[in-house]
Amino acid sequence: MNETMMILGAWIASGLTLFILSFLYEDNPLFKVAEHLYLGVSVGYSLAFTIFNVWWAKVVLPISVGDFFPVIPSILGLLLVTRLHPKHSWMSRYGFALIMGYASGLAIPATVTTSFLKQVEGTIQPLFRLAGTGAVDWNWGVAISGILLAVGVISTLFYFFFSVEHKGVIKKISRVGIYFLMVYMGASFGTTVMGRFSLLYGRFFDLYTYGTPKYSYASIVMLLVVIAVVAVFVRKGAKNAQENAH
Amino acid sequence: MKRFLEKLSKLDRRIIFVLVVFVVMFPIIKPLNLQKLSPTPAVKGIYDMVESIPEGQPVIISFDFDPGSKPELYPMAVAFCRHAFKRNLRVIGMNLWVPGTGLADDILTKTAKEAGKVYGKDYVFMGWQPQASAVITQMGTDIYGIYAKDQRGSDLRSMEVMKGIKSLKDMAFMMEFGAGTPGIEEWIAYGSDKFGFKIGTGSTAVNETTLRPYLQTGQLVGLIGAMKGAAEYEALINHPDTATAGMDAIGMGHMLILGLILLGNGIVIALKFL
Repeated sequence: MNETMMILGAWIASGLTLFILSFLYEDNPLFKVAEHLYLGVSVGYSLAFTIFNVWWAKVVLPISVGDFFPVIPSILGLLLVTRLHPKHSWMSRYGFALIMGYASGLAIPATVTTSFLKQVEGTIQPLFRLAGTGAVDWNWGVAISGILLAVGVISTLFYFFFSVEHKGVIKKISRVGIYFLMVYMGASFGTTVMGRFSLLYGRFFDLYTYGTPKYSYASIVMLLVVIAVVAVFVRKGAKNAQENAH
Repeated sequence: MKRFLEKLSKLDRRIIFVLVVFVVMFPIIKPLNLQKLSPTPAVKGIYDMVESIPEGQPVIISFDFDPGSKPELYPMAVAFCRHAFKRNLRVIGMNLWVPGTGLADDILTKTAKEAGKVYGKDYVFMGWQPQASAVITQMGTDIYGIYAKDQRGSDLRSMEVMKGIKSLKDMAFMMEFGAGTPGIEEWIAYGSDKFGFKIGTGSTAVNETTLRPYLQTGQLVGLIGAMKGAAEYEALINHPDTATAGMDAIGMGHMLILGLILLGNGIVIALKFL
């Protein structure tokens, strides 16, 4: 990448980041521009990539050398588009039938094994192990962790067990399940906060980098532009509100 | 006092935004080096796995994220690639998220260049293919059935880096960096559990708690969680970079959030007694 392109990229990146962040003050035209650009570029990039990497490489090129097998899935795929025309939409069922059959056949056994059987296996942990000599290999950490895991899973399952009324012992057990759920949600919230700060750090780090002389102070200039535009917009909005009030 | 607390409880959210900007920006301008990280077993699991692979063996990396998750996943992906190249492993890259194709290519190219590696001999980028479950299933039996050519359009089978590789089962290790679906859950369900190869992941912070059970069952060799995990990996390979630098900002950000939660709850409690 040559230097001019690098600087231009920095101006665009810092400008669009600040356009998006300007929403934190108030909704404004700069935010709308960045939002629409983001959507447009994402869809355009994905579409172009799909056309050249899939449609061209896996359909057009094989057909051009005499391999006509891709014609069958292509026709089934094109039939899905008939959904747009109510009179002919029945034709899309053939494509959907293939997708549903294939996806279910692939997903059901895999998911049952991975997300259910293996997880059940992982939940049932031994409290202690027997060493080769027959002596008990006791580890307090492993034992406590195993008990906690069993209590957590059973009590949480009780909380989601709606076939009987939650009273008496069942109510008490499901109450314990709620505490485990709260711990999980707390951990999830904590990691989410960390994730959001990481994203913010990433953008700010780029803004700081693009604000250096190497990038012709792109971030600083764009920040001033954003402040000026938002200020004008806010003032105009206030003026309009005043006129409407009169 | 009551009036002041009531005013404080209705604080304009934009003041909080300014505080957030300050705590994140300050350590970028002036690094504080607040945290001393010691690697957690989940991160060390990945490091130890890479260390245990003999030189010249192939590892496959799937970069399943887009620019939206770049700050979290890019540093750990860079650190992992650096480690793999340092260990002289053959690196095969691919991705399941189409908007991340350029990023994935950039990570491989950048780290390979640093290590003086040659494209086609030491590493290759196979690119993106649609329908993750179909891609993974096909790769489990025959990689070339889905990837006949690499991202640059060259014949994959004839490349030196692919020597002796037919399917995922021939890989010494598979590493995935993912921001969601399709991602590691598909790789486990349709890949490692089915075909029996070793797999590890690097995830965003949001997904970390959901993926922990896979670590506990042994379905994952290790887990690099978000920027903190990336910083730990950077420490393990002795190459501090952006993740390490970002830990100050994240630490200060957490302190601010904790302070605001305590302040908010304190105000509510105090107002009850005033």
